[in-house]
Amino acid sequence: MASEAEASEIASFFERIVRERDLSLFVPFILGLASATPRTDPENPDQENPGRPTPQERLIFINPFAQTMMVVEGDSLQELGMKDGQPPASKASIDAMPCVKIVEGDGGSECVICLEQFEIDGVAKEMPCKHRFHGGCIEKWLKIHGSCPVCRYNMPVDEEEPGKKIEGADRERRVEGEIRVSFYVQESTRASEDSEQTPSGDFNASDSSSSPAADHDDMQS
Amino acid sequence: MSGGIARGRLAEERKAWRKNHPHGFVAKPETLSDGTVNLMVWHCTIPGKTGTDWEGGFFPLTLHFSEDYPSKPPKCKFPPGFFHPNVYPSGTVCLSILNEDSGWRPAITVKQILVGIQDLLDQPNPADPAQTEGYHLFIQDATEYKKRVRQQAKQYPPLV
Repeated sequence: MASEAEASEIASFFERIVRERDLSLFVPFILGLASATPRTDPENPDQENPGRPTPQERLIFINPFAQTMMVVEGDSLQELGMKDGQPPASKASIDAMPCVKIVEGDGGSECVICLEQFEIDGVAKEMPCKHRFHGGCIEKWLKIHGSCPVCRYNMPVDEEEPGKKIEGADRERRVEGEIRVSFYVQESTRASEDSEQTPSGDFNASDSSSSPAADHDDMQS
Repeated sequence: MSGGIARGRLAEERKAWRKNHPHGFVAKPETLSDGTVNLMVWHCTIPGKTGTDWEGGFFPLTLHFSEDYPSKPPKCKFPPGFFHPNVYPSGTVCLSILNEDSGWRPAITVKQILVGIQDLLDQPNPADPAQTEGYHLFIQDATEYKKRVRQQAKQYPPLV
């Protein structure tokens, strides 16, 4: 990521502040240094995947108690806030859809996936929301996104493997986008701001277990 | 890929379109030089809405369908460099219903896509910018933005 250099620039800026102990210059948390300039990747101008350009957003968390600063880059920010749509329906829920026989009265109805008319006496699969499709048509879709093609009714999701996989990949990517900088503060700051610290603590949760410890040290000194 | 339904669905879309389609719109599959029809690429025209700065323009749009259609949406492209906050420099339209990970549903028809894009022309989504120029003017300079839109509409007069 090209912004790595910028990030270290920011880091050194804060280091300078800290060295000079001019703590009045910053508040415990500075959130959201963001700019909405669209960035286009010359290699892939469309960035088809999430259908949006990645704005150069950067979120900076500063925690004087834990003596850390964390920079979260735009890409991982989006992952925090954006979901990639409804995950695939569980196999069990796909298998559990009843087959219904198409009778005279249903005449004229079509499968909205292939747009072909249902044949009288033919069979269709019925989702819990009562929308009907050809078995092959609906199964293919539900294995991609577990929601009704007509009304977006959400099917049960397999909790196990796909979820785990996504979570694992997510975490990896998120870590890539973060730059953490530790700094040392001699004056211990106001205890009253203790409570405000929680958001940052939560945010760090994945692997900055050091923060409570650092906090503790600080209080003792 | 086990016997994709893309072509069958597209044949049905074509039938439905011929039976009935919104006024001023054009949508037809590409005809190759040897005279055969390629259902996977459609050449369309979207008319600018009357009463908007887009009025008078007939904007060419190409739909590229994949073998995974309709499980995946088609890619919709204006000519490269098309002026609009939600159109990438390549011309690709950025619209929620065309996003395979969020808004797309197999029940969305070609007609709905084209009408949706017509709506988008005059109602850009500033939360999802795709090009710098269109986005910045839209946000910062309404007068210049308007001027550019009208100018572009003139660039795409009705064919025939």
